[in-house]
Amino acid sequence: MSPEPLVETVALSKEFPLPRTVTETFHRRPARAVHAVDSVSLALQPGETLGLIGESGSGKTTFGWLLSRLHDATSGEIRFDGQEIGRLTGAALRAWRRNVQVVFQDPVGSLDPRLKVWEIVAEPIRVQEKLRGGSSPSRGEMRARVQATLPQVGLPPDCLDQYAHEFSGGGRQRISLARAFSVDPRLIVLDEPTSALDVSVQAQILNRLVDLQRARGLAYLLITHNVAAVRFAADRVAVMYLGQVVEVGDVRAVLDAPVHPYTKALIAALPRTDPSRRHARYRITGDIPTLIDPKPGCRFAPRCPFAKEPCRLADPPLRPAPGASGHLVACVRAEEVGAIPPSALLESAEAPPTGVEPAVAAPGRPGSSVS
Amino acid sequence: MGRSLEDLAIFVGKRLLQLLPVLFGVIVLAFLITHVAAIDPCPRWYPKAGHATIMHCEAQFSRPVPVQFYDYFTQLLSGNWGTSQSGDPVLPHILAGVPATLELVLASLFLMIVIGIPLGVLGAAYAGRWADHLVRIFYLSGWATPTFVGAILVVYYLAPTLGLPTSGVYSAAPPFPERTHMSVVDALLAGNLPYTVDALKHLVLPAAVLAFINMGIATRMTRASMLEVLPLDFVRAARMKGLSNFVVLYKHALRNALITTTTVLGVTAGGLLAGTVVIEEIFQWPGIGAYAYVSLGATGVPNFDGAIAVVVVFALGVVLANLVADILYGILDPRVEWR
Repeated sequence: MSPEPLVETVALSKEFPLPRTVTETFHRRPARAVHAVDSVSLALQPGETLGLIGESGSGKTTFGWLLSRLHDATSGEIRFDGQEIGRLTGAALRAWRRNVQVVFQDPVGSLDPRLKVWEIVAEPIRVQEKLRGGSSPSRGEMRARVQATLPQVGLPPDCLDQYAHEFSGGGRQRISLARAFSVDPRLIVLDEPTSALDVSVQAQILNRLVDLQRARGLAYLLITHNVAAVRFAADRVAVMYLGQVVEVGDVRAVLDAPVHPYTKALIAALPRTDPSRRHARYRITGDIPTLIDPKPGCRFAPRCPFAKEPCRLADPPLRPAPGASGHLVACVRAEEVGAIPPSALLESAEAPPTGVEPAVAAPGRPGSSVS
Repeated sequence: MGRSLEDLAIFVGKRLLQLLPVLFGVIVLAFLITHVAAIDPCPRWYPKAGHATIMHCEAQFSRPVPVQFYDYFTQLLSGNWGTSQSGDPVLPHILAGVPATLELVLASLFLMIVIGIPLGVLGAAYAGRWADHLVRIFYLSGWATPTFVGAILVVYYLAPTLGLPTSGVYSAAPPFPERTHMSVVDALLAGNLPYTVDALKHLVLPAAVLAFINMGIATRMTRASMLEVLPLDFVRAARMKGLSNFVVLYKHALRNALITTTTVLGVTAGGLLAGTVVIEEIFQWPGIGAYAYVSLGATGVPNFDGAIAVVVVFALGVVLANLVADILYGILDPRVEWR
């Protein structure tokens, strides 16, 4: 690992205030807030892919949008290349945007239905050239540039004048990729880039992403439900639960030898294709607690079978997990819990992301109450 | 079916053909309403007139309604739009009035677009906040104002404060011929700048009242469709490109939101035309709205032929406005095919 991260967040938090109720106004109590992202500190090295997994509502997407400055953080810092960018505004922010691009989940909603393919891909280039004070390339030059980039994302070069609605879901997602890559960013936030696509197309898009990363050396934040996709494409993975990172480390270490009880449950909930390798189900009971003004203490404690008194006192800090280096876990009982033999959890699956293992956050079968 | 010019021509042709039955229906209804509503009208219209006048009137109106309609309709097909009871032909009034009304309607449509739509964007961008509430108060008060109340209030209170004229199209008879019967256009064609300014001053109040009353629909539709578009990811993607908030709102989001607004503005044409009847009468605007007011007997004997003619022209206006909106809809949205 290089010492200087490309992007680093320090105790990054985002709260969405709720409208004050009548009683709150009457008693002059402060408005309550949804703590979507709660004090998250993560770092991405240049050229690295960090997977971000967790169930719906765990704050993955909000974190991605904070990194790309689509949301403004409530508190905490974002350092990009050592520079604090959390407070950039106006033209400085707009010029900075060339460094980070986002690929969104919804292939339909993420493309302007009124623009042609070449206009979608060319606009970021034009805007950024202008912000740098350069002269805007001519229309013909721009079309040529766009045409040259289309094959890199697997689009035919002659689709310049088509509209987004003329493409399939995979084709649209490729246009999104072309748009994101057009300004040569250093980080792309991939917000569930494949979850709306069918299985064969998912693999194509992921392969394309990996190839482009090798060629260009940029970093990805891969936000997904799909653990198989993370195993395939990511170098490291962070697991989020209720706005906090509970475990982070190398993909192998975290997915094959999870330490945090929540990660264990998440991995155990993955359905196995091979019945002989099915493992004892690891159950979590209870509902997911609310994100509105959470109580201090481990967020997972109310549902955790290993929770004890110290868990409920204060937020557990991320600290090195026993054993592997660079593997951090936010559990005060990591040593004891990590040592508990997680029955059949230790099998490794080298399968490419065929999508056979569906979204982790989907509720398990009747009878299992994981997540 | 597709998006070529040929498809557009076929689309327009079909729609114009559909116009014919609509117009026939409108003529039948207008004729029936005018002729059935007044039972034995002649003695009432001419209470003090001599026997000859009443007999002349009876000769026309005591025949069976279908026979009257047949006569009227065959006349109309031969290009004769009829006369008033006093023998004043209808067609010249219509020909001179339509451009004047069109000028008024287009001016107020223009105001609805340049004021109403940005207000809708403002309301959506600040949804639920003070700016949004102020916008809502503004357009709802317009919507809730009866046309005659709004017009009279403006004439009595606003016009003297602003020093704007409240009647007619020019302050003095123009020294140039009124070729198009659109006051501003005529003055411009004559190259007469003072008269152009004068015509604009006369235009602004009636157009503003008409716009204020009908603006709500444009603002509300824009706000609603902006709220549908703003959460879409392509708006975020536009922001990620480094575009300023203004460009994101007005270029990417509004252009997509306008698709709905355009359709609704086409439908609003009917409301605008209906509003002209009262507005033109109060502001003494020489359009067909004022002519409709006179034809309906407000100032004497009703003029059935004139009233039907105005209804037909209004119907034509509404249908054509919707056709224009549909064509614009296709131009704005590349996903639409003309058929």
